[in-house]
Amino acid sequence: MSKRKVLLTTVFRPFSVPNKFNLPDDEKFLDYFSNRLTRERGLFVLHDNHPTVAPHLIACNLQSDVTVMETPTIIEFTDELKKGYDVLGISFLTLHFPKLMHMIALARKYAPQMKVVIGGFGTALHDLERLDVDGICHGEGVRFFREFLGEAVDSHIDHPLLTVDVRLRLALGYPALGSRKMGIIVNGFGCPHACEFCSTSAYFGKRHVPFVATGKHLYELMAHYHRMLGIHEFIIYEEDFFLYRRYIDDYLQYFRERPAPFSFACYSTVKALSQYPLEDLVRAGLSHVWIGVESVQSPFNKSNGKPVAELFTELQNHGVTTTGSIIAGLDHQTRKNLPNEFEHLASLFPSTVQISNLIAGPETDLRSRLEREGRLRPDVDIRDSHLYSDIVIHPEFSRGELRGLIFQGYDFIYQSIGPALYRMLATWHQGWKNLHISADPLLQMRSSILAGRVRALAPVFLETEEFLPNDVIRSRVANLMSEIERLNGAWTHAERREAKRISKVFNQEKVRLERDGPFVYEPDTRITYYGEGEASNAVQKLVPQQIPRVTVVDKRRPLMLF
Amino acid sequence: MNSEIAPVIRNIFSRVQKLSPEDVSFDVDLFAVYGLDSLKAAKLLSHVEVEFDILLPDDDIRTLHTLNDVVALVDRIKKRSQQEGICHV
Repeated sequence: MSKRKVLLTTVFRPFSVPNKFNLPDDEKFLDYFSNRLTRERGLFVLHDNHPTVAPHLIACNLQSDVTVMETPTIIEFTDELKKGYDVLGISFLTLHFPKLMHMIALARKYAPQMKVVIGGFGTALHDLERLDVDGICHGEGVRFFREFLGEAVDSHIDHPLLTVDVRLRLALGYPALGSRKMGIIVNGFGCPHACEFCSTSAYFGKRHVPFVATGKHLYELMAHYHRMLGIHEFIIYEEDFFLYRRYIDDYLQYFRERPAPFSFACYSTVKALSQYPLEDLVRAGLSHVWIGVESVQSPFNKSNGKPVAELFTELQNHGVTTTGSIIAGLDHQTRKNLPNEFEHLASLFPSTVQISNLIAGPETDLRSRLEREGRLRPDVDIRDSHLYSDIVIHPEFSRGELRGLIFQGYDFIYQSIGPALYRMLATWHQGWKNLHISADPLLQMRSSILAGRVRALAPVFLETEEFLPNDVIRSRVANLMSEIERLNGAWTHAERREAKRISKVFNQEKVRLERDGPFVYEPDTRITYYGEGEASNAVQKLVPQQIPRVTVVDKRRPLMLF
Repeated sequence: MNSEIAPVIRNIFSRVQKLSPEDVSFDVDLFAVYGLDSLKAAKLLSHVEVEFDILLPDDDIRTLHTLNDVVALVDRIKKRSQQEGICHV
């Protein structure tokens, strides 16, 4: 039997054109940094070009020949459909449901014999069986597709090499400014904390689905990225990375035996982080952690442990940057106490922040409760399903009010503790100050990494004081820069040259912004082939990226590398 | 009624509703008589848009009650597209 041909795709672009598929500003939801973590006025905003991970994970683990398309245009998608695929998989989010409908109709017209499968978080919506698709992948996709295609379900699991570039958003117009490349690691899905609002927890049945089997495998995956791509910084996707004690102990042990300059960003909770001496985690590469603070009076079990302020301070003292996220619209919040939430968040000095509306996603316990209480707005546009959607009726806040307050909250953070990029720099410097005097060789290595980061980022602030939000922040940045120079050595000629170049770009961008307004970001079409199929099927105007199959993680046997 | 558009709409509707094309009436209320709901309506209109290579504006969609309305709207949008020389998709 010949190999099956599978096309896995995201929904189509554009995202920036308001029409029946997009609301105004939809393209911002593609940008993790500028829409969420560094959502602030000014020019210090970051941007990333994050790939859609799930289709790659699935493609990498099928025997069939798989093409992964990310953000194609409708024409590109339609052209691809005509190439004779056996199976089409479309990954979508709730807000992209209208695009999904359109793509299914296109598939039925241009490839009527092809099986159509839908997947992604959008499948938490009800009644999708009535779309007449051939399969709905709800939850973990590798097993689903292996079963669907009749492949061996329990064969080993590979991890694709996926990267993301993080840069200043304004570098979209000035590409010479450079970026930082990070490797993406999907460590596991789902979360047993089962916070009532959490869509990912609900989506995976409130249980943990491991993907990278052991701490040793995680280390080997990092080492593989390093060997293949020279990358030593990673984002680890796992809802609460430090929750799984045996796994982490395994990783720490393996790392201690083979020290490496790896750094990783991850998601965790106060509860999980409180289990460990922080130095152990820092030695092993912890460099950034996202903590769901949620509220001053967090009602969630995951918040039990060290006092949150103490934990953030301890992290920063070790040079670990942080993301602090809070939710606006929780039951106990009022117009009077909501500003306290923003002040509390600012007091933690997180490097980046996320302030979101309370979202009652499909399948969550929160949604069930609010339905019972009659507190879901009945007339919400399905496209308006994102972090800032106003779908919950709160007795204290009128419609749309919370969204406005959230954006005020972001502005409060920016005005009171400065740009996220400055907060990162300050945290790295703080960590360097504390770690470089340590006798521990692994902490010494961390201090060298932090010093390198400080010196690389500092030129951004050397000649851009006029772009900072106010005089208080200008003074803090000036003090920080003086201290870095005093403790860490005078600015080199190269750093001063770089500072001048950045200052010039900032000034050019200021003029351009006044003339043209903000950049509108539209992602490129990305096509990746997995397997040994006919890569010549590529749409000629696009550049395919051939990724070899790599055996990186094997859940059942001792690791066979590479 | 446009004689090129109507049969196509009839076929799409019969597929979506799993009806024989002969059982499809153009002048009855889609929601009251055929039990069309929002999901089925979205499905129907997606197939119509793809078949005719047009996009139906949301404001116009809200005014649709019968298949005659759908045929008239498609006819109008197609003519407008041809006049403007654009493809809506």
